[in-house]
Amino acid sequence: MTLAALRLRGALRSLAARPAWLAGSLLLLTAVTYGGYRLVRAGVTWIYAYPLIDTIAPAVTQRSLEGLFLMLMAAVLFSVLVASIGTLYGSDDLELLLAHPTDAARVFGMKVLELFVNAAGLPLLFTLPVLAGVGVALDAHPLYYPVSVLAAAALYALPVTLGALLALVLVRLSPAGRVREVATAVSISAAAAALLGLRALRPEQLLRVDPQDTAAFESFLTAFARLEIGWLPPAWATNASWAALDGRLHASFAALVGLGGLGLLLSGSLAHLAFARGWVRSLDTAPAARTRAARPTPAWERFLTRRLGAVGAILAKDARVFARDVQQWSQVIVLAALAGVYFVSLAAIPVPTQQFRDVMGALNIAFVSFIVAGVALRIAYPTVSYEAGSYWLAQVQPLRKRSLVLAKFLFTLPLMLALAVGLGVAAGRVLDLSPTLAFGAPLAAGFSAVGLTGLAVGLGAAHPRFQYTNPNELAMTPGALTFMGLALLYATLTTLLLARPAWTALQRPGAAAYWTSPEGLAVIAMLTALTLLATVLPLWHGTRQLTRFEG
Amino acid sequence: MLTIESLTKRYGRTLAVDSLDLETRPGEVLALLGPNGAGKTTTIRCVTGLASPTSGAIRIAGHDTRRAPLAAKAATGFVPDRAWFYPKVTARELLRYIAGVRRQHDAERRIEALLERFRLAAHADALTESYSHGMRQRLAFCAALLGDPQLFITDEPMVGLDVQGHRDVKKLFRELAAAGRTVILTTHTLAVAEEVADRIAVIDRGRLIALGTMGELRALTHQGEAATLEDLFLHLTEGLGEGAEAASAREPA
Repeated sequence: MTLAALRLRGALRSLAARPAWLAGSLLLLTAVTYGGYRLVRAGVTWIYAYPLIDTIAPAVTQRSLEGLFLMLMAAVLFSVLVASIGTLYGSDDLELLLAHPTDAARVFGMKVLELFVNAAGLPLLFTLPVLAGVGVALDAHPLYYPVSVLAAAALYALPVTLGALLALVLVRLSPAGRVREVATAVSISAAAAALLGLRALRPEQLLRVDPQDTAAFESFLTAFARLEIGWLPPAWATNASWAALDGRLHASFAALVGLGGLGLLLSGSLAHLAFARGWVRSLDTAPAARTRAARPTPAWERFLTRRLGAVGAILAKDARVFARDVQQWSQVIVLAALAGVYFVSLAAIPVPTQQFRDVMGALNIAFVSFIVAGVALRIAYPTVSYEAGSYWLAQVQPLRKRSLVLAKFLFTLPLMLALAVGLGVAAGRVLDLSPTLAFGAPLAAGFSAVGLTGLAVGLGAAHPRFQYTNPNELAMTPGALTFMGLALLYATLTTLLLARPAWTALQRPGAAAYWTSPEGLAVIAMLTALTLLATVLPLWHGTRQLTRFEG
Repeated sequence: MLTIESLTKRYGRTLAVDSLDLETRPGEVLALLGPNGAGKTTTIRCVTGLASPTSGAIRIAGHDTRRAPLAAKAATGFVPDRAWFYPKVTARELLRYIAGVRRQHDAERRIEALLERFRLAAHADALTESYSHGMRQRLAFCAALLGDPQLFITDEPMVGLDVQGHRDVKKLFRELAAAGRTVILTTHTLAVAEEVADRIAVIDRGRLIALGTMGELRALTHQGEAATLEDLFLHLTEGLGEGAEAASAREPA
């Protein structure tokens, strides 16, 4: 507890040092949480009042809650697999902590807690307004609130424990000399496989129902209400919460907490045996000589440096570091998995009419923006902070901070553009959109990639964190949360701007040359202005803040 | 070469450097000494651009660090006490990167010469993550000298270096001075300062309390010819004791 308290104190002090930021973040968080709470409360009230659902309303609500728990548990598992090796074995503070006569299992416990906060913190935060909404709508017993929150926390702790156990095993089994690289690559590949595997189950098959067909909809709801996954922990969490609505403690609650406790006990025991030795083994990577044959400066590096000067030199350096740092390049695996899931999902959507396809195409514009925002948070936002302890080198060189920030932007942009435009084009092909949207989808996606990359790099430069124990922390900083808030705002504005061409496509599917009409050009101009604002302003702000930075 | 006028640096309420004035000449080695927390590192951070002065002016080779920071930095080479580099690049790649940032397009020969001089040629293509502290320190010297700086600043240059490294660095300081460059070093190893420095500046609680050659410092403190720099330093900073220790907490690493 002393170690955890120390970290908590440090985190609180860094928050207290920026009161305005803290207030802004809290305000944003409160607004999102309250909005979620009101939405769920209204939704549950509506379901209970809807005549068609009638007696099966509790079962439908329960299954929906189970679905949410399952989805968020999968998200936690994904995050844990991506971050476990970095957090448990790659943290800089381990050297200090394990050098002391401290029980290695305690250090491991603190790191698992850190992993829990990083991976399950946000999902738990998103769950709270849902649980509160259900509780208030159904006039829950006071016991419901602590029990449901504890059940959710215990549920999300399961994948964290699983990830920690996997990390312990992987580090012991990976080949000596490249333990961290191999373990991280395997772990992240497992995450990608888990994501694709879950998607391959095609849960949307259950939802193939026409809401207009009353009989079919009723039979679907009945089937949905009967759809129990009692053997899975998300169902335990739901049962525990549901029983607590009437002030009862369900056996599932004990099972969930017991399983969580058992997992912690098991990982604690294994940590006693394997953590310290595994960590020492993972350090073997450092002194392993990796001498490369002396080569002249590669042509691509010469080209970049001569053509782009300092920006080119930074691009060349960043390309090397990206290719060699498993923490960075492995994000591409995650990216590929996400893209794969997206393609499969799009292909699985039933598309009976052109109009329906175009509606999906219009919605897809917003979805792509959200995906790009999530990827930008992992890839673009931390690029300035990746300078880490070497930032002093950039500070003492005759280098404009503008060049540094611009180089980071240019480095991440191609990757983001490829993802966004690729998704936009794929959506157009898979959904067979009408010409207006087939052009509009990749166009909007391209703009999103530029705007969101600029926003991410700019805010990352404005709130750099050059001292971090592991890079996974960077996505959970107040600056990163602000980025997500502003990215959602940008995505909403983009979607609103494209609502008009989408509407036109729906009204006149055959209409060609919308984008060369005065209205189409006006939409493009407004989109350009919005994207320029989202790109240039944050990059300028980030450059300014970075120039003032005294590390 | 370096002119510091009324330099003041505050960290919140803490006064780290207090109206410091200092001027160096071309071709001299100046040792900047002081107890822990005296303000040496903060002064160096302000000169090298790692920190911004609260007030006062710094000029390097005639360039004001506020108005022309790039020109001032181009004329400066800096070796910190603990050099940290991108772990996933090699020494040669790192030096090429610095040459690129400085727009030195034909730096290959100089890079090879520096790697050879600092005994890194055999390890030039190994990732810096595999380097020992001493090797990193030697790489920092290569990086700082790549731009052939007129002002060369080192913070505790001997930390982590082996005996051969000590000798190489002392020789380097004299060579740079002979070539008309200015060398500023901070150190707690007074024997090194006494051996290589032409002049010695003693800072305490952010203020310059003494500046001169060994002879001038002896005269200032009324000490005989036999007095070592250690004697002079202790005489000048006598009675600081707890005050200095308390002040050490406020100086950034």
